[in-house]
Amino acid sequence: MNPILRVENVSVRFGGLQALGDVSFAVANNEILGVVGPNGAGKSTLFGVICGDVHPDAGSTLLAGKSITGKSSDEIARSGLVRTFQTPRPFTTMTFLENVTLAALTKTNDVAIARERARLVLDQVGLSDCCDRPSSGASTGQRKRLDIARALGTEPSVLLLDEPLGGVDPGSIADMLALLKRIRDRGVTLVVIEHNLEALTGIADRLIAMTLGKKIADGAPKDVMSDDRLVRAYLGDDDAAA
Amino acid sequence: MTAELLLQLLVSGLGMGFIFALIAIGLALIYGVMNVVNFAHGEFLMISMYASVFAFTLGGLDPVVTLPFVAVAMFGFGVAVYYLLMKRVLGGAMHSQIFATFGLMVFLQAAAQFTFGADYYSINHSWLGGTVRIGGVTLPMPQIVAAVGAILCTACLYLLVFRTRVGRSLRAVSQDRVAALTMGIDADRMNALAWGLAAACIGVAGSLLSNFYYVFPRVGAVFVLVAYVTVALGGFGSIGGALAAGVAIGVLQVFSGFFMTSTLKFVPVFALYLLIVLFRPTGLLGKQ
Amino acid sequence: MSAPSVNKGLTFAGSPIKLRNIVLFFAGVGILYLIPQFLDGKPFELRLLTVIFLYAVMGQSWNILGGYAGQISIGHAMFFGLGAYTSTIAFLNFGVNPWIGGLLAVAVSALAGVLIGIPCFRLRSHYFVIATLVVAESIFLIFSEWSFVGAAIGLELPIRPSGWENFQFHRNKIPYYYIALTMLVVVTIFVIWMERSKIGFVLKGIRDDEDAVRSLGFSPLRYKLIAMAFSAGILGFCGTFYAQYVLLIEPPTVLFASISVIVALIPIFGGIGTVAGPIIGSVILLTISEYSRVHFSGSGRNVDLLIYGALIMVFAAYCPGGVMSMISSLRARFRKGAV
Ligand SMILES: Nc1ncnc2c1ncn2[C@@H]1O[C@H](COP(=O)(O)OP(=O)(O)OP(=O)(O)O)[C@@H](O)[C@H]1O
Ligand SMILES: [Mg+2]
Repeated sequence: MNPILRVENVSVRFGGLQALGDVSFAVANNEILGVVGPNGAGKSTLFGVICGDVHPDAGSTLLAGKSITGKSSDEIARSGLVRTFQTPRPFTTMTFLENVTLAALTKTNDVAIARERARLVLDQVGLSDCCDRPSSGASTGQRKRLDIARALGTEPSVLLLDEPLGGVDPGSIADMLALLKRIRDRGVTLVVIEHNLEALTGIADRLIAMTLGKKIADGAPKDVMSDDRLVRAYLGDDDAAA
Repeated sequence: MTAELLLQLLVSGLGMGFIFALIAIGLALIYGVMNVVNFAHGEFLMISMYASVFAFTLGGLDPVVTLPFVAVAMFGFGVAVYYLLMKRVLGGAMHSQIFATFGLMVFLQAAAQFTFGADYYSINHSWLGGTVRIGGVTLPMPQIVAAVGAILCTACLYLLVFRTRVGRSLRAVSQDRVAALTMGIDADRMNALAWGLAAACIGVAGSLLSNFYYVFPRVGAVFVLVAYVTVALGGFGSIGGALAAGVAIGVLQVFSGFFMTSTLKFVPVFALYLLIVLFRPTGLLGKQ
Repeated sequence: MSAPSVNKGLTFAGSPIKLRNIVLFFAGVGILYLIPQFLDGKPFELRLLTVIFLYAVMGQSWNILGGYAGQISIGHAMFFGLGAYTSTIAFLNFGVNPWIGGLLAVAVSALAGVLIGIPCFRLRSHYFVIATLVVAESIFLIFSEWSFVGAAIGLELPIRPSGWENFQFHRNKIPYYYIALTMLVVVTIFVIWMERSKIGFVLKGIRDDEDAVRSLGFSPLRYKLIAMAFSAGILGFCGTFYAQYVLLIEPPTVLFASISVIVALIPIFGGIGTVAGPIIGSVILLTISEYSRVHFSGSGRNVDLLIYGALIMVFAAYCPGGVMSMISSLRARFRKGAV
């Protein structure tokens, strides 16, 4: 396998807290990799490291074989790796369309072309009705979709999604999963943090499980899900830390 | 440079430093509790200086006598500013918060100019005039009193903030506003208290300063810029940090004033601000 | 291949624009160019309109950085002052024509803006505001002491014959009106273009959420520096205009904090982050200050600042969007009523 993204021995400390300890894994091209683990496991911190928002104390990250360790987050985004945030962050003084147009302007200087592209992307994520609405009034589900649309607007090759189903109502989860699959079918590699394990196992090719900053399992979804270390981590069994 | 001169500079630097600290502590208090920078802070100082000077020239009352009254009146003024102005912009955009106190600054400065003109007023022959000699060093009395007064006031404030129930609520709000609210602390009253205390500190500083510094409409601008630097060095919202940084700046400013023209003596202080804030954006002693 | 466009109408900088608005804009400009014909023997009105245009331009330039990019500066007087000093010193010491001097002023102010911006743009919110204050105050103090630039006394421009080639007009001041108006028209068109272009999108994004903009792949610093260069450069030319208009520059008149205040206040009052805001703000505020200057003349009592201060507070507390937001909410109400 020739991985598009590789994380090698990454460690991060916040003062006395070891948020990530020696985490390594690789993501194959066009794969959907799920990242699971209880609150505080270090999942979002891991995204931060990959995207250049958090500087690791040790370890390195490689995108398509080239090191991206220590590069600024905008530089990393320009080389095709884009994230969404756990709490969506729309540009609140802009409409939905303007939000995505801004993202599409990373690929062109022509606003008219960017706007047309943004319309297409909003249509793909099912927000075409909202184009001219102010994003400040968006619901949680719409914000999650808008964040994804914005990331897609930059035409990424690798997309990191931090809890795309968080706050999405049960009726819309199937839609969202279908959307993620469509994105993958366009050739995008996806790394998805998600607490909804059932939904995630439905689409992920592979899972990694984390707890207390350590990777505890890595493999096919059904193997990881039945791994008793993950079960214990979620249930908070005292033995888990030992 | 003789040892005597050195000592003299040091003492007058400390005197000014404690005044800076007192001004900066008020700023830090408001910032800590409300996350707002009071751009009219210097004008609060100007008001209290005018009050002391006119009480002296018109009523013959020495600043030592009027100090408590000025402090109490300024407390009321601070509370009024909170309820009439700041409360309305609290939840608003950052620019409206900045411009609310900025407007107050422009207004108070223009009001002073309108009422008193651009003339300089000062107090001559107050009770605390003259100099004292301590061990061969001649020191101006008003500056010693200012230093002592500022230290006392800082100590009282420290006790209030760190040793009383009210102080604990105040700190709770500044550490975690949302949590404090859910615990039933009345944030509105704490905000008002912060403004009142900050203004009262300024009242004390203004009274002490009026003994040896002239007052004019823009006097606040001189001191408040230094106060911003002080607060930034000490970490926004940190009272102890403001105290330490104020004293350090007082000394630096006196020494740089000795080596270059006195108009430029603050330029090194400002340069220091930029340097420190760039390398440690939360200030020297602020939390990370 | 051009993208299929839903809008068949006119576009400007990639966005549709209404023909009606273009016609209104140029009709308004045309009328403004004709007005001096009727201002013969009315020096007060002529001066009022000239300074309104000048301050509207200054407001526009502050708005690029403060309104669109959300970087609030209260030190913009330094760029105005630097511009005034640049062309004046170039003329006095090297005989450089003031028009060329104006271009130099743009370059010097823009460069100063970038040099100041590189460190200061690392700072956010209040830290940035205070940094601009501190830098501007330092420059003011240094210029007040520096004998090369005339120290506290300032610099006086020698009187040259009236004429376009000298950028000086003595008995008939109408050319100043035309120059200020032309500056306003050019800068306003530029801002309209910028607002609709890629730069405008990115700047507004930075104002809303700088980290999100970065996460998409833009360098916020780069765009903030671009905004700063535009903003400071335009102010530099305004400084040259002022120097040629008044023929005397002193630190207190060109570098003083009150200029920083008014330059920021104009767009905030009129409507921060809008094209019309600085123009509306300048019309209202400069009218107030010029009339109060006449009525309380010579007293040095700053009645205009008194009124400004009160207005800023009232607007900050009750109408943070400025006059423009009042207009649009009134319009919305009117529409609702009409339906
Ligand atoms: N900037 C920071 N400074 C200090 N501690 C931090 C910082 N960011 C995260 N942490 C801590 O690091 C740990 C890991 O946080 P992280 O956000 O990565 O967890 P997570 O797995 O994403 O959890 P969740 O499922 O709740 O989103 C937590 O204990 C968190 O409090
Ligand atoms: Mg997380």
